[in-house]
Amino acid sequence: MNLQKPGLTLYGLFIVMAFLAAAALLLGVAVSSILVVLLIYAALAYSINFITGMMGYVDFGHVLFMAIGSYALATLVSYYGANPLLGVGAGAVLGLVFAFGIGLVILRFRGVYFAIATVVLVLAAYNIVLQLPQLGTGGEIIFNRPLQPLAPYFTIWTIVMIEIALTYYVNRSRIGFGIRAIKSEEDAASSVGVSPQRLKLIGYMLGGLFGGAAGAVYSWSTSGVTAGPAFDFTFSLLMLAMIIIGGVGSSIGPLLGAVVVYIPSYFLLTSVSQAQPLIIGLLVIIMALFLPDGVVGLLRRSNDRLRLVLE
Amino acid sequence: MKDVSLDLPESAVLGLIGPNGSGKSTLLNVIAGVDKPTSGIVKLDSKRIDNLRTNRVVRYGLAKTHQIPKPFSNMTARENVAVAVLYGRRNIHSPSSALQEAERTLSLVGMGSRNDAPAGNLTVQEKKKLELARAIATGASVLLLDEVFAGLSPEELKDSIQLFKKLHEELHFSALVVEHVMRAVLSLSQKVMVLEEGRVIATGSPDEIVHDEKVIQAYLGSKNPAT
Repeated sequence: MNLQKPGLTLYGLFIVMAFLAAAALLLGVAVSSILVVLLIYAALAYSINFITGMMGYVDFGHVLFMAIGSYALATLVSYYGANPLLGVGAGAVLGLVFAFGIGLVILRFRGVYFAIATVVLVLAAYNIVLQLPQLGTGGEIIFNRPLQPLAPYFTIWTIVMIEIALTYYVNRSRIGFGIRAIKSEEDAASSVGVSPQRLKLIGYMLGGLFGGAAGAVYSWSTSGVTAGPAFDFTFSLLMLAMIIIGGVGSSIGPLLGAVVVYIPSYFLLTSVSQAQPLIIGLLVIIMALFLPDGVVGLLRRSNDRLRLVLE
Repeated sequence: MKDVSLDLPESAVLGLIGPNGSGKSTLLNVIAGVDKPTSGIVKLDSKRIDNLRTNRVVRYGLAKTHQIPKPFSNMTARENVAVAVLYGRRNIHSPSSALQEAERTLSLVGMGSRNDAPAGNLTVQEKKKLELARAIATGASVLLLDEVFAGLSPEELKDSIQLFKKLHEELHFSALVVEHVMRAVLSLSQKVMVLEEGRVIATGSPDEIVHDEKVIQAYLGSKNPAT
């Protein structure tokens, strides 16, 4: 990273985002209802990037925060007739609060033990939701609202913009140096004064916050939530796949990964939807074997200028 | 460990030697807050630090190097040291000034040409110097050095001993030096403490230590096996 030469990655990302905004405004509802899924994917990828990408803590349970956000919005909109935007705010705050409480405990585990703990957590939460008498069978909440696709579209667009800026900022800040040190050698980090407990909690809470917000927009755009899909393990895996394919930790990687994962899922949805996990799974294996730094790493290695510019 | 008591005056260098398993590293870990003592206390400038975590201890001005170097291999040498500048006790919070400061520290330990080298690619000696640079960069007044001279060639050893002397003259830190390499300990320390099986068996000037009966016995075995 070159602190003296700021910005190019950020400008590039903002140009892509401006293009996505223009596409929705000019081409209308049909396009925005397709692209909203891409943006939700990107938002989820950036949110798990704070945890797995930056700190190296593999989080198989990140779908939990997505589910928390989904249920927060669905509950507020369906039972209290609230404005969905309020639901998104509630999803974000709840994601943050849950991440704080959960993080205090499970961030004491490292490596594979942390990963296992995150899986257990999702299973527990799923079964709790299924038992809640307030929800319909299968933990279902559905609301009838005239859908205006542009509203959730620009909400998730804004969330992704904030995530990009924050990722970029964190990577260059004091916190970023501490978090990278933790990712590499946690004990050595504390021996030079870094507090792993505090920094890991900050990263985990950022993940929870944005995971919750993205989950809320997801249930907004699908007008409801059901426990099965909301806690679907596949989502956690997709999120991990996105940052592995894109390039872990970087500012640009999650967006690249979201695009790569989203495109086959869109084109294959109608014809051979079963093939999607297969294709993405193969892609992840290939990346892990040959391109451990993801697409970003490949681009950096291909060109000296890109190496300096891409963050 | 039993009945071990030591006092490290300002800008003094105390050598700590002893056979394998005598408790040298354990003692360093207890002082640095890596392990908690079951009994006894550790004080730094009259403040108790034995109930603090490692990273808090660093804020009080005490830093430890690792016996097996642990570089942050996802960063350059300069960035490694910058982490220590940012999180030590020097109140430098801006990454760009921390990176400048890190360059200064790296050239101080003779690694000025390796600023941009990925830390994982450094040689063993360079990794040990990086450990030292990180410890110094925290702004520590007390350094705990765990075998920074081990595993070096005679040439590298000479070089490292000279470097240490130069650093000590410039920075006036106190240091507790755990070492197997006798030549290094004896030429650096004003005082040497010898541990065996968790107990202190001798303390004195380097000259006294090499002539101490008990020390010779611990290292070389008894002269008269019958006794």
